[in-house]
Amino acid sequence: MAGDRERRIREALLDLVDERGYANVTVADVVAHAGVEQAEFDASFADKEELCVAVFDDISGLAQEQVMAAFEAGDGWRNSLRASAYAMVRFMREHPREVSFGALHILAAGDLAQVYREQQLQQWVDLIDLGRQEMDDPDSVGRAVAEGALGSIHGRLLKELEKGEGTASLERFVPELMYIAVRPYLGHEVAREELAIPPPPPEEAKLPMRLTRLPRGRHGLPREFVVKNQRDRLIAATVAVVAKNGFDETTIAQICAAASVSRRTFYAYFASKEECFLAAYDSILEHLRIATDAAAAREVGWTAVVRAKLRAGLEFFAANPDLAKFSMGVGQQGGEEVAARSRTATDEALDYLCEGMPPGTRVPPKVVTVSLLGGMAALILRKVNNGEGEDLPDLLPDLVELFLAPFLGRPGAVEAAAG
Amino acid sequence: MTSPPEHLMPSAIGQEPFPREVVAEHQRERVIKAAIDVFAKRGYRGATVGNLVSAAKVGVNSFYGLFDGKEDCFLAVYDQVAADSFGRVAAAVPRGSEWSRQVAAAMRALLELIEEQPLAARIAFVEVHTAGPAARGLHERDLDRVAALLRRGRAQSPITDELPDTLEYAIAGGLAWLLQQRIVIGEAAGISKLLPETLEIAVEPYLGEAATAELIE
Repeated sequence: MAGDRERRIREALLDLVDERGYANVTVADVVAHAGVEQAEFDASFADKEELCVAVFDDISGLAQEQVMAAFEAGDGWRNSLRASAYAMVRFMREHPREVSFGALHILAAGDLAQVYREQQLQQWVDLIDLGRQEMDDPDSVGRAVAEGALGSIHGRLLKELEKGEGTASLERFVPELMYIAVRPYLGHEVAREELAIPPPPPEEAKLPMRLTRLPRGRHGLPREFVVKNQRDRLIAATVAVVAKNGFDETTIAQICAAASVSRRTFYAYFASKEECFLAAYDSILEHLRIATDAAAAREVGWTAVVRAKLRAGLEFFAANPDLAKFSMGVGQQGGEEVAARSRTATDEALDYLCEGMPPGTRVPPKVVTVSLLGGMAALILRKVNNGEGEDLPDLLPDLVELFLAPFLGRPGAVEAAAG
Repeated sequence: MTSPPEHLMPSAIGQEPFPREVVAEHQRERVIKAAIDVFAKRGYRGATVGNLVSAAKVGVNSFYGLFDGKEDCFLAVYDQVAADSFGRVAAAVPRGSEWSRQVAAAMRALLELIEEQPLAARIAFVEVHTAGPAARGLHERDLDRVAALLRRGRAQSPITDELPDTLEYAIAGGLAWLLQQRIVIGEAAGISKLLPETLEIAVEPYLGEAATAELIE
């Protein structure tokens, strides 16, 4: 079972670095967290840096595997490169903890780790550099062109991340990134075609917010890396502090303390507490939507889809009841702007649940259905406030029946609730 | 000793003041009445003890003789508003009539009360959420009261066994939420026009579509 122990050690490192930052994790911490003996650690790794490099190698190996599979499945350089780009952003969306480790924490992990990181970037340069083969005279440009393109792409991605819209929606930048990669080899006209090519159909997405912690103090990271991370940390801290203290009692000082950032940093991202609430609310809605979309995609028929969406929603909130406390309360307690956002979100939720309704279904007045959603939110909030957040999925049959009854009548709703 | 406010202090030395309890009770009522206005107009967060004492024309010391502070005052205000509303609505319900008629009468009375006293409605449906966990506890208590009244509808329903256990709390919570939203966007006036929809929300789960439509007529 040496393989299993080694895997536990690697997972422990990811967990702990995610939680405390690279500098604050010792080998003793890792050993304790993984539940292994020091001797077992020593049998596999010489020290923390070696473990770190091994974990990085795992992550980049996994990413590389998916990227290369996509590249090889593509037809021609452009199609292959595009498929690889989508594979990469999908990987980033699905592995935020790993991406943060591989892009961020690795920079604090010593010279050997830097060499590995550089190698990973060079693999992308290789893929872009193949564009030369598309030219009449491949030798007319050098590898430096590919390195330059990768630099621009890297910078462009970081700039998008800096806006703090999460890794979930990076797909939409792929056309732009492709333009950057294609243009040096095939020219503006051909590259421009990339801007009009839609993304491939979405695959199943994974959710929860795994938010990272940076090492404390001066870490010497490029500013662009830090920015995205700080904003996410502020958002995660806001949700946690609000769940503990309530909206009104939450102060910017508490949020900063929980996120381990300075007050000045807070104001670099948000003009006010309310603005931060709004960003947190939007972030929760975005993750929730990814979860419910994925669940709904597997179902056929309106009632089955409604059931799947509600189930995924309850599971989402059960996994982190603080998110329920926040999003169910923010409309009433978070301030005027976020209250308006919450009203829009309720309308959108209603439309979303009504998607795919068979023609001819009796549609109750909107006031009735919207207030139903309010009632469902009250039930969820009561359960969470009673400390039973983990049991939220137990509400599924009731919620399905409550929502569907006005549309289908009681018997139809009961039947759908039974699943 | 709790003193009356400055302007009520007897000018003649040696004159007996009002009995302490009478003064305190009178002041308490006056503060609560004034506080409804202050909390509704400024919002719980925006209101200060200074606003409360100046609106109620009592001294700061008198205020703290009556309440522990702003939150305690709000809880008293909410309780008063809730008690008045439940009393007013109960009085409008015809004794001995069918449950659905009682619900209809109660709902009409509640909506009319909101139109008539929009500031009190703001306390009951909006500010109660912003005033901390104790206030939310009172709100949940009142949702449970409403839920218990709705639950009597099960006796009228041919499908009692199939109704989910959480139905009443969801209806009460949904109605409260709906009213909160309308009040927040400034639609307290004219809220009575929602009577048919609110009845549909409250009664239809028990009686079904046809009987509910008849009741709304």
